[in-house]
Amino acid sequence: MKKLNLLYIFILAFSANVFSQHKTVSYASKIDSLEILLKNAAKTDTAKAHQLAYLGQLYICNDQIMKGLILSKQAYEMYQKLNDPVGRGYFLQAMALVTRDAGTASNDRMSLFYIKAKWHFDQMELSETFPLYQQMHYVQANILESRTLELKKAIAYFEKQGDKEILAVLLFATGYNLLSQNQGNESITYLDRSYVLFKQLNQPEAAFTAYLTKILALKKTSSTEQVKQLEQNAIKQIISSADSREKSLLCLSMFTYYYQIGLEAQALEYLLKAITGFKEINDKQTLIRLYNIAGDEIQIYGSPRKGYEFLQKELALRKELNENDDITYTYITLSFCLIKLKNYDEALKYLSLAEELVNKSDNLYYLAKCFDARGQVLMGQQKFPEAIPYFSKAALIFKDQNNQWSESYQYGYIAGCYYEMGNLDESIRYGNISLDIGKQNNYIPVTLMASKVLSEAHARQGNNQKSYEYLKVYSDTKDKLLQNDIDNRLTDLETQSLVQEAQREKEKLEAQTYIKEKENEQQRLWLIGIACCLLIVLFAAWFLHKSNRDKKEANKLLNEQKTQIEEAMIHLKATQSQLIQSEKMASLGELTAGIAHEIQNPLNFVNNFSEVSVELIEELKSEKAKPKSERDDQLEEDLLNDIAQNLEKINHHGKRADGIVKGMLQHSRSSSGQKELTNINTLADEYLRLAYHGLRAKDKSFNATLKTDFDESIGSINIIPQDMGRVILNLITNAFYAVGEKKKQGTPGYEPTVSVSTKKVGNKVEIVVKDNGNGIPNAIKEKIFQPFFTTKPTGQGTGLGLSMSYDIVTKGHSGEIKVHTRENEGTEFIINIPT
Amino acid sequence: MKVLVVDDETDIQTLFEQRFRKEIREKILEFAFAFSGEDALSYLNGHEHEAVLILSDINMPGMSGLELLDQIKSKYTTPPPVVMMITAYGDDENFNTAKRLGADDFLTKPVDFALLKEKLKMIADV
Repeated sequence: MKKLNLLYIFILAFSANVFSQHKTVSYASKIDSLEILLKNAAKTDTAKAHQLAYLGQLYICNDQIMKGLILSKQAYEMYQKLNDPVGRGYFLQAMALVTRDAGTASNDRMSLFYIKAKWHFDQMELSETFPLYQQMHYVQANILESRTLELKKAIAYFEKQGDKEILAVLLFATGYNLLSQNQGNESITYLDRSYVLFKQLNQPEAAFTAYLTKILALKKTSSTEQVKQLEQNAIKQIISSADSREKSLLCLSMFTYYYQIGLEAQALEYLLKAITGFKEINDKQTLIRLYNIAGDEIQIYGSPRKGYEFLQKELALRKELNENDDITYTYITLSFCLIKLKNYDEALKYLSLAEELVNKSDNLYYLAKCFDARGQVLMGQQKFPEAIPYFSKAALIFKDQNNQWSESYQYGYIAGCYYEMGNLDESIRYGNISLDIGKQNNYIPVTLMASKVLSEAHARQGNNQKSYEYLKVYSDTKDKLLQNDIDNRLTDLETQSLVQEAQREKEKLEAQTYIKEKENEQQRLWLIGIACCLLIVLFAAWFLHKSNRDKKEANKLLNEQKTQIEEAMIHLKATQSQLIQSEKMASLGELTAGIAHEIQNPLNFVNNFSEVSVELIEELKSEKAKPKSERDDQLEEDLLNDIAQNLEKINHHGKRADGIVKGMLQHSRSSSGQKELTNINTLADEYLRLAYHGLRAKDKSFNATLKTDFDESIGSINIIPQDMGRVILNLITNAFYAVGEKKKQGTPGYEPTVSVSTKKVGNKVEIVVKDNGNGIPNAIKEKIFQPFFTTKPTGQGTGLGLSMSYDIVTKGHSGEIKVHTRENEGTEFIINIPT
Repeated sequence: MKVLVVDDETDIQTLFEQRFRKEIREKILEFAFAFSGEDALSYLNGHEHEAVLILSDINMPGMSGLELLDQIKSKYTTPPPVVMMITAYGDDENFNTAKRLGADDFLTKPVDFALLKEKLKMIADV
């Protein structure tokens, strides 16, 4: 199982030369030489105690646990007499050695006591330790039984002695050993006892670990419901743990526990928590190991990128501490990360570093790992035939070491290589070996890899039946992976709710605790409170004062602005009336020349007819003076008739001039606003002529055909004559301007024409002013009635003509004014006024 | 001598007939009247060689006196009739344009009939 994998990592993390040492170091020979040393040289007590402690640990390593413990205890007691704290450290180291375990177990117990020992040494600022910790290795599965017997013997001995600490450790180790041998029920009784003892000894981390191990044992025997309950208790304990050292250790144990039951996500969560804890207590040595494990775990089960990052952190710490113990494995793991990231060049760099170190030592496990890595690099580089020998060599070593997990992987890789090379028979052969081991041990990744290769190989051979079978294995395994994932998530959810609950309880407890303290503080708080209130009131007062002042300033500013706006408004109104007046004057100016012309003509007639009448009277007189016979009666009659006619003409033209002057005065006068009965035809004609001559006066070359079509049936209608006259004048002036502009373009055959017509339509009078100019572009059609809009060059138009006309027609006369226009054809303004 | 008077004021006919009553009675002068440039042209078309002198107002609706002058001077070349222009606006521009278009004389309103009579008599005598 993958637990095995973890075990390798963990143990190797502490020992650089495990396998070589296991084979080469003879504890027995060391024990012998030390025994002799002890007997012969009677040195100082300190030296003796030191030798005893070392000897004890050697015995334990040599699986003579009882003897080793007795010696260790002796040494510890001696040190205690010497008041030397180093004794406790050695004693804890001995405990760590007792708790090392067999294949299926993680060695967090070892790390637990190891770390405790290490912390102890750190605390005392002692660095002394025996080299055994660089030489520890896991207990071979085949000696588990004999080791259990040895442990039980020791338990019996120390029970009699009444040494609770050693007993607790022994019970725990035995429980674990039994669990490894699948003797769950028996295991539980030992673990229970150790749990109780550790609690009594006030070693919560150890108790916790015993507790978790008990859950592991229960998992194999008992209902999940009960297990769940126990798990939750464990989590609660972690949450409620206040000591950061203790908490770090608990998290580490929790990590191992989750790891062993195959919940990687939870395992990693606690590993990361542990890392945070160890960072907090600044235990960099342990951190190096934890980064290593995290990096390895994450690259296998999570993301190789993240794993790589953790390993880089490890390298950084190692550099800082100048710690190179077991760096080989870090290099190897880094190269695995990079292989997964397909960065083979970088992978080879780390692999070379690892290989260099491996060659100096004779660590076969690392050697196998290097072969494995090199094989994978070659495989990634599509060099399949070259890769196979490396996998084979690795597989051989792993097999020798009973490392089935890694071994089965190699066969899977070999199967993959042969498949790529087209050697399907060999591929299937190796695939089957890999799959067998994988299924047997429930190695999910291996099973997946092998079944996939097998399915594909059979498919290529055309054996669809077999291919399907393996595909089924593949998909079933995938489902299992999925189920694991779901379990992970469920556990995650449960944990979260638990964490929240625990947090609440903790808060509740804290609240109760603090109530009393608070009561004591009440009075002081009251005082502070009152002071605060006072401050707040002062602040509020200041703030109010300030805001009041601000408000006043703002009001003042507002008033100033208001005055300014009002002034601007008055100015604007004045400007507006000025503008309206100037529009009137502008149209009057346009009229002046026309008016002069119009008055000139009748005056000329008046003068001429009166002059000629004088002549006629003279002639009549001279005729009368003739003798009667010579007098021409007919001539006299004619002259008299002419004089009478002339007087009529004089009267007519006098009145004509009078009318023009009146009209002019009316126009320039402000509107009376009074509606009067007015002949709209006369009004229109008058203004048409005025406009025409006004324009002619300014532009001598200007000429246009004037057409009028007046409906005589209209008679007089009720309008404000000055205003309506202004409207008509305005429209006609615009019409002349339009045709004038078109004439200037020099269109051949163009005859400028302006027509004014009136018509009675129902109860309305329609006045139409039409030109054949260029028309109004659509773009500006909407704007022509807007004030100040003009197309005339600056200074030539006020832009108020049409806007005023619009107001006069719609507001003053409840009528409407419309415009019809076609580009290049002309414009037609239509006014409708109700009669 | 036949004189064509062109003016948009119809009363001009009465005035001329009375002012030149003696000359008309003595058949020294004969008058025809047209009340627009267009009327004048159509009259000329019908009485091509009758009118020796044309007396025209400049400011008229429709065809202006100057346009009429232009047309007469370009169309009726044998012999070209004498054209005298009359305007209410005695400005240089009208005067120059009239001269350029071939006007033989230029009068401003109000018309000095004594002067006009002299001029007409002079032309008639020649």
